[in-house]
Amino acid sequence: MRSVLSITWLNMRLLAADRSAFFWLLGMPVAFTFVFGIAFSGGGGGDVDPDEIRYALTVADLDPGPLSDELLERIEETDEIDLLMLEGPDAGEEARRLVDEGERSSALVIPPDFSARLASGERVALLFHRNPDRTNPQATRRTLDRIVARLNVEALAAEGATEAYSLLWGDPTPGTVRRLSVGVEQFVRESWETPPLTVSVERLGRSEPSDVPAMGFQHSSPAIALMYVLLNGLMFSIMLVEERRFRTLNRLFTAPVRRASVITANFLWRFVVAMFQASVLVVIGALVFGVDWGGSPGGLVAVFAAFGAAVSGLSVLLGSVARTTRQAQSAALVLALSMSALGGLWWPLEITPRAYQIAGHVVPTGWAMDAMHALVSRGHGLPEVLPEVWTLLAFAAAFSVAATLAFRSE
Amino acid sequence: MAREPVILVRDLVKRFDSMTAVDHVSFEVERGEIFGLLGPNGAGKTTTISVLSCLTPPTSGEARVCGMDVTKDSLGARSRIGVVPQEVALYPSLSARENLAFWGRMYGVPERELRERIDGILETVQLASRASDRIDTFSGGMKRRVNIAAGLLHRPDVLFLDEPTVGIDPQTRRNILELVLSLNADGLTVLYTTHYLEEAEFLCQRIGIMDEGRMIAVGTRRELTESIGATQVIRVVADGLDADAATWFKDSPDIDEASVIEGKISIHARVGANLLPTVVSRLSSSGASIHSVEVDDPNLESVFLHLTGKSLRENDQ
Amino acid sequence: MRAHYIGWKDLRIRLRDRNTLVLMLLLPVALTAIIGFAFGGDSGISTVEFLVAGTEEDDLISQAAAGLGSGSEMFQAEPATESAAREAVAAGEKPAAVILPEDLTETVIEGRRAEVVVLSDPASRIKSGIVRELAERFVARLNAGSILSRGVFETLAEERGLSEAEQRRLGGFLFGWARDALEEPRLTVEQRQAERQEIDVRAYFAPSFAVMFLLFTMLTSAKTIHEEREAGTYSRLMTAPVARTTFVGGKLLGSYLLASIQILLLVLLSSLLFGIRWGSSPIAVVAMSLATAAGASSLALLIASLTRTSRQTDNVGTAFVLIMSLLGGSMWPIEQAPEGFRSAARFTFNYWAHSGFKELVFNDAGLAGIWQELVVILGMSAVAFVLAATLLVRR
Repeated sequence: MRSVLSITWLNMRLLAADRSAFFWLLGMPVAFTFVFGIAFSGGGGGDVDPDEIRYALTVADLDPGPLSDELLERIEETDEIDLLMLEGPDAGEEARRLVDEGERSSALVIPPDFSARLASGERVALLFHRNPDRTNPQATRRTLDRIVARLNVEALAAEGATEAYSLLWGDPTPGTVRRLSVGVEQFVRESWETPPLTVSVERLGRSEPSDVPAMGFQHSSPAIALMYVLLNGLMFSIMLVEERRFRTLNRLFTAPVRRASVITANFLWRFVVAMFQASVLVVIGALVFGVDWGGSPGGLVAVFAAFGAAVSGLSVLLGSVARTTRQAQSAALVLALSMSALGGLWWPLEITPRAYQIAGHVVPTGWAMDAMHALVSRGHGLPEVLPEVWTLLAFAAAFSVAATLAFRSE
Repeated sequence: MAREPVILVRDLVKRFDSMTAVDHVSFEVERGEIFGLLGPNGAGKTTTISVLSCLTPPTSGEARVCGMDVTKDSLGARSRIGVVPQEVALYPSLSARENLAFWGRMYGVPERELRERIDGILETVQLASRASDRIDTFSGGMKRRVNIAAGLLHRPDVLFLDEPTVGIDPQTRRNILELVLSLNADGLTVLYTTHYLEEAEFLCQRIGIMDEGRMIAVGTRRELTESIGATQVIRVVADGLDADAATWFKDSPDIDEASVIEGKISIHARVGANLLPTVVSRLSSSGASIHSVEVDDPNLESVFLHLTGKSLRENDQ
Repeated sequence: MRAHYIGWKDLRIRLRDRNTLVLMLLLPVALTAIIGFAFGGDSGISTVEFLVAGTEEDDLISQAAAGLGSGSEMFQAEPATESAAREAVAAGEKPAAVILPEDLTETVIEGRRAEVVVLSDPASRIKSGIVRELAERFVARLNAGSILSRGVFETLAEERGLSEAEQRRLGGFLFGWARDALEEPRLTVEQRQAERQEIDVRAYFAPSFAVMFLLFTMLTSAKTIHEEREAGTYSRLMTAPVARTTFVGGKLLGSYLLASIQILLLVLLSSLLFGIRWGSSPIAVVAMSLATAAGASSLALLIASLTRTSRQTDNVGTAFVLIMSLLGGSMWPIEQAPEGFRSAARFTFNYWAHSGFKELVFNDAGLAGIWQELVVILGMSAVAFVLAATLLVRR
């Protein structure tokens, strides 16, 4: 036991002596959390309150009639969209070009016969150009749809009233028609803002932080913490290769130290470092970025510990199999990055095809991320994440057994 | 001056910050000789070689190789020297032939001669059969030989070997020493630094002894030993020696010095071997029982000891 | 000048190292494939499964579920009780559930106010968001019908008063009329997207990863400046009649050759493996590739010139590459980033390299379409190289 602890201690001393190690263990993940948190905080809108976001919509109004002006007025009334008007006879082409070339994200073209057709009860289509690279047009389109729906209802209401009147009592006089349309249009106007049905969303789980940047960090922090525990852990395989190269491992085997102790120590120091890294990242996340890590410290410790164990086992395995430091480095990079991508650390698994979701659970990362979602987003506790924890421990066991078999001194 | 020396160093000084690594050193190396720079670690040998190989400019003084000043005509000087660094400086993942081809090109060996010269040099270092193998598959000794070969391809006027035998096995060491001798036999001038006095004695026609940045003596081995009036030493280990024994020997006109330390008497004399019978009979008659007798020739160790008051071997730890 | 021998020697050493090849080719190709697996292909996002619950009769719930799912196979709505729905969402088994209010039909007909609640799993932001969108569209449709029918009904009642028989008749008429009328609205919005190669995420990420890993490879190349110093071969070179400028030139040349090979191979591999079309102008692709190679190799050289050991180059360089890749959009679609972020990105090499390749892939821009990117990248390369060379030769 003493030898295990001494070897563990020695390796941690070696690591601590290397200042750049701290940068990799802590500096880079914090930087990544920061950038991703900022980038994804406002659903594409940046670090402003989403309610105050205004999107720009380029408009080419080719219609000389009054109804297009009314449409634009209604759009402006929403206070959600800034209109950028294009003038001239080629405005329609211009709008399309600007969007195609990526200078504007979306554009609305009102056709020349817009007023005329609507007045005569014919169908007419507005043209909405959007740049597929941007997410803003989605919100613009939603606002536009709402206004168009209302215009449709208003237009139909007067017609419906007239039609219903003739059905019951025969054709109305022009005066009646006018009275009917005024009445029905007033009704629509009044009840539109207070519709019978509204939609509300109830989030089952922990409440999200109220300020927007923190919301971005809430989602980036757990994934990046896992990714860096994995990446750094696998990179530590290099140290095992170096120990063989410097012959210190060989020397250790000539000392009265059991093979099992050497392997255990190699596993142990990696595990301790992983836990240290995870705890610092959790604390920084909570204090600096305002991340709420859920209500179950026990669950969080269990998940990080089980994941750290799996990573440490894989690291020792990799260090035993690799023949050169470069080989270990390349393999660590390949494994860490592809496992991060597969396990849903880079993008949520829910938006991938079923086969991908299965592939994500062939590696430990998928399970660890599931557990993180349960703890951090849903507010679950240790009992709910036990299946994930056990699975991660099974990975750890499998990697460690393989590492023990592959372990060699030269 | 009929023939200019291959290497001429005059009043060379090299300072690093406050530390003077080379302090007013002067010496010359004649064409065709093996010149040894002998001295303990940190004596300034490697710095001297670095200045001569244009790696570092001198603080003051003059250093010329084949008549070319190392600072003013650095490229010219570099094309006339071959340098064999102390550590193996080769590309491990390239083969011996590829390494040699690269270094040959760096020294401007014409492309059409390159192949032939590589074959020749590999023959010389006895590695022709391993030409296409990667350097990292070579043993330590083989790497050393390729390391030397890389400094020879351009047929330099002078070869610098900086401690080429540090930390290698006796077999490889002997190989290298023999290789240097045979290269010299073919006319190559060699500047050889070492802190092993046996190597200097074995290889070098002339030797410069350096200590603490200064050149404390230059000459052939004989010149050096004679210059300090070095003597042979008779060492006798015996029981029953007393201090009187030393006194008796000191009084003898043929003996310069005698001392008794812990049952061992050391007698210094110009012609020690001739005195041996006298010494033995005198000791026997005084009642001492002799266990062993040996006679040491004067050597560079004594020279170094005489000049610096310390042993060269003390530094060889 | 013997710089080309040094460059050639470096290239041979690097190409002989299998790990270089892993970093150069395997990793970017593998990551592109994984991304393609995640987002590309025909399968797309997996089915959005959600539950619908309410106190109405079962067939009404089923109807509502069908209405919510809008008949698309992408959505799978199943009826459930409210407590079961709540449990399933809380446990993370379903991303969301829609809870309909009591007496939905009456509410709509009579215009009473009620709430449709979407229960969402906070761990599933995207799918629960989709369900919410579905619910909102469903509700908007019901609201429009309700307002329309009631408007007509109330107006007529006010105009003439309605007998019970008239009320029934009017009700029957309005139900069908409103539904048909809303089904075929007067005013519609027709959406058009810029015409371009069908968006294949692999086409987006293949150049991004190529640029990122090009920088990584170049770092390991530039690092050899220090490695040669550490291994003693640099000293040896300096004892040979080789000028420092030759050495620096040779190093850049070796890096540049390697970079060109890497980027061209990645372009080739991605079109062979993933069918990415790099535009119709081979000259433009080669020009873009060679310019990118120049940029990556000289930037890496600059990093090596600013650091003192190979280990430092490794550390500083990797951090630099990761941060530039993050900022410049090598790791995620930067088009979705906030405006300020995108402006900052323009200072990175990655941004311009992607921008050029994306022009080629998505807009089939010829040489004329990417001249701006070429100028910026070559300008960056020149500045980086001159700085690096000055620092390295002076040292």
